[in-house]
Amino acid sequence: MKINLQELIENGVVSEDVATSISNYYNQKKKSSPNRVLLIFAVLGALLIGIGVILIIGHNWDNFPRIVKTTFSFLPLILTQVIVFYVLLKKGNNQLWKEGSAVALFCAIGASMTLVSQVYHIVGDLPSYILTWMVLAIPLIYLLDSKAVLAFVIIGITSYAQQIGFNYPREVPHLYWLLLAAVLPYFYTLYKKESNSNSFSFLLWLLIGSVTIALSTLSTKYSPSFFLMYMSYFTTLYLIGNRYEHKVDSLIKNPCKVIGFLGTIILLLITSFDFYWNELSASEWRDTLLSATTGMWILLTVLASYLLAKEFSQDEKSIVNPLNYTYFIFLLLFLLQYLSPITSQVGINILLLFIAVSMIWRGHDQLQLHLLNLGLLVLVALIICRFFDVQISFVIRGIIFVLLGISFFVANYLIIKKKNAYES
Amino acid sequence: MNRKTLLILFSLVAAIQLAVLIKMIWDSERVITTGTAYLFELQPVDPNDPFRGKYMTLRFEQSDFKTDTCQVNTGYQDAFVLIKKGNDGFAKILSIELQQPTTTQDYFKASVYCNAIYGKQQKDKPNQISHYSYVIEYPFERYFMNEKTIAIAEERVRAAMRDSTQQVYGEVMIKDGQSRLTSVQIDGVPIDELK
Repeated sequence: MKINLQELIENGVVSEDVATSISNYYNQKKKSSPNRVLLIFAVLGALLIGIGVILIIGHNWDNFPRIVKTTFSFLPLILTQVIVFYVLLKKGNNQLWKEGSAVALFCAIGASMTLVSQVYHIVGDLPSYILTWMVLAIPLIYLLDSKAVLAFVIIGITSYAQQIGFNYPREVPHLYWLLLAAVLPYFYTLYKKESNSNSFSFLLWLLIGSVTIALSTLSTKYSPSFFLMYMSYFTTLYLIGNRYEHKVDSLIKNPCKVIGFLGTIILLLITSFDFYWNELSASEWRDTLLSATTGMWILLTVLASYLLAKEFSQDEKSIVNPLNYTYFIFLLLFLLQYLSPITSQVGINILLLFIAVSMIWRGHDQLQLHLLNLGLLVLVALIICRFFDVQISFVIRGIIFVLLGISFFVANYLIIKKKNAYES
Repeated sequence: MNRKTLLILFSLVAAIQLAVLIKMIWDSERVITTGTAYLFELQPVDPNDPFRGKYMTLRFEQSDFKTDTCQVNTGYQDAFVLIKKGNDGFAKILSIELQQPTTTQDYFKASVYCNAIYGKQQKDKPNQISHYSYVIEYPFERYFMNEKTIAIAEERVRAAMRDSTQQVYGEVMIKDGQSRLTSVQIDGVPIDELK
């Protein structure tokens, strides 16, 4: 909001006193909020210096005796610790200094550990190295109020979970969840303070992306509940996204909704093929019935059902959007496959069609172009997938694509026309 | 949180960070100063190894170990490699066990993998397993060096390996299952000292 205070005083809208206090208020506000560009450069600068030090050290130093090398290994850590101490002592209110020094110390922890490993020629295993690093870095998030370190820690623990959980021999990375729980309180305070800020939505993207990856490492054995769990998870995200929508001003700041939507559609597209249903058998449950994946599935299903009930009680119209309850239909189709796999497969295809049509319809109804086009895209994806397993001649495939292309133009044209008419 | 509490908490965190580093050094120094030295014979390394960088990758002569039965059946697993000094002065593998040995000090922890070795295919008979073999991933197969001198050192090591009169080996200090590589030597001279 730009106001010309002078003009308002001249025209008698506000008194001179009010004008002074307004201008004081904004000056004060400007002073207390850090300059965003400077903040980004402080973090980047610290990161570059940190990487630089790691590289210089990596250059190695054969001619020094071991004791000198060992002493040198402490240098990056002690130096940055002193800087952070100084920042806390003298620049405690300056976010720029706090973020910059936190990132520098974060890098220094890794650098010093690498140095010691090099001095003693320790090969070591990467996951436990990352784990130690992250554990030592987490307090910095709280003490220095550092979002940058939070972002690095989320990336670090995700990489730890991925390495423990995906590399052979697979193990369950229990500590991932513990470390994630350790950063959540900070996340919550950020949510309370600035849920609409760019930095918060960036961190939320990282967090949800991380959890989405880590969920697949809950059990080392594949369980039939794997897809059920993910379906409940994506629906839960989507429903949370619905509630979160009014807090943010754009879809990109709502990763719950975006990841929930994309995840649901991708899972449905995968299960719309026959290979998924052909490979399922009741015997697979025997070993994995009591697995963590099954437990998480039940938990997420309860959560999704609770959110769904709330959604319905607030707005009965939400029944027209099948994305709100995809997990439930998927569960029914999953149970049905023990009687007839082909019925379930056909059911998934109908469900996808239903989702696409409902999106196109809602897009048309609410004059929302992005909804309409996304619906059309889902339809296109479904049709492309069916081309893989249904023998259709190229001519007919071509005609279908031409028709789809035309429908994109026509639908968009009609909506824009309707929107213009509505606005005028 | 006021400034004083913040400073106290940070000092505590900084102390823990330092302590972790000191612990890493302490553990290594203990192995190097009080452990027993073993010499492990080296094998030539493929010079086109794309992962060569600031360190020399070592391949050991005894990269696998024959056995009648296999205790490991699911991929790589941590195990204890029991060793002794052979007549030629080099370390020899005695056995590989999953439980930490209590009667001897001469072992190190490593990651092992079990391979079933099949015998020769005989006519009209299904192929039989003749024995098993542990593949050992040594915990000390990297020797960190200056990136400038590493190329020369690697060339020397390869030349020495081609020459049957010279012996190339790594010196490793071992204590309580822990191991630290201390040098790579050609006929008793560490490669760092070769000019």
